[in-house]
Amino acid sequence: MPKAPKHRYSKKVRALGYGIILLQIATVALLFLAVYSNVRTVYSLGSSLTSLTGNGLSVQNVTSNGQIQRAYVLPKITNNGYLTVSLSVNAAFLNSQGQTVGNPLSQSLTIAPGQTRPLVLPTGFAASSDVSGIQGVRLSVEINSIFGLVGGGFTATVIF
Amino acid sequence: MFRYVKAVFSAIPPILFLVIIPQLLLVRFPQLVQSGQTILGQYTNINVTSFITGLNVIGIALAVLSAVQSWAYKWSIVNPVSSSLRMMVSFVLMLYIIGLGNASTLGVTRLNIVVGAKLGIQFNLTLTFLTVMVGTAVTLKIIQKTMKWREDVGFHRLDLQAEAQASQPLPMSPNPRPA
Repeated sequence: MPKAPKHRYSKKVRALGYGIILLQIATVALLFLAVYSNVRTVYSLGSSLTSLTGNGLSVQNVTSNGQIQRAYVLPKITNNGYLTVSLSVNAAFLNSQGQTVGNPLSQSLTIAPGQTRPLVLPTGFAASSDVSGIQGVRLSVEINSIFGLVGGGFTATVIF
Repeated sequence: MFRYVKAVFSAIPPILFLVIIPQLLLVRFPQLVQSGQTILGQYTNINVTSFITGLNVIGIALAVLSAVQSWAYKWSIVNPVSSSLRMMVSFVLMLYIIGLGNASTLGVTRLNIVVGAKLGIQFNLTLTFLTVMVGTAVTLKIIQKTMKWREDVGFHRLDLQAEAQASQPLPMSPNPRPA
């Protein structure tokens, strides 16, 4: 019995197949780059925190007017990856009832690959008496890239 | 006969990895699972038993669809339908695993860790990019499968015509030559 001739799919179908393969390769490559950039920046953030702990926490920031404000400053956050990374930090001090004391601290910044930027969190405390009622802190850190489609973060609530 | 063998073999991987091995873990190492559940249940919101049950359900669905796809002829409508459904269920499996048992998070892992009354951490991992790209790839694959099926139907018609022509008896000559 003669063997049936082998049929070939049209160019459109084959082109779509190659397109899907390219899309999958691009997905894996971009995902790797995004995760790599995020992890490197988080590592830098951790290193920055470690150096602050070693040298004493910086609680003041010199503004462009030359004034000194009470602020937490993380001086060197570097993006050693290949994609731009957005970093956002929110912190709120809590009293014994779990309510926010003072203004919540909030700051976000975008770091291009190879760039180093500081993160300044103005405390909003006018006097040291504001600090007396603080019983805990809620800290929220978000880091992402590719328009927020790849990233991660954590929210930690610590009661002193 | 070959189609049935192929169907059985194609159902083996999902049954093995998503049903048998997780169930073996539950049955053979209940203490391990129990202690894991105790630790996980104490500090996080994960339920190991319901997670494995979900995996089993998805595994059985994938096995059935794989078997049906392998059994069906390429030109049959059953082939693209089962293939498309299998791709969708695989996509749901990915979301289910990323979401730690909750596929509706659409690629976001949410983990609540509570350590005593002093520290509570809510951790999240956003893989929406992966979800969007895999979703796009699945959609394109379904479109490609449909296009392939339409062409397969045409090929099947051509094969049938060729077979019909080959099976027809040769025409007899009206004026046979004298020997």
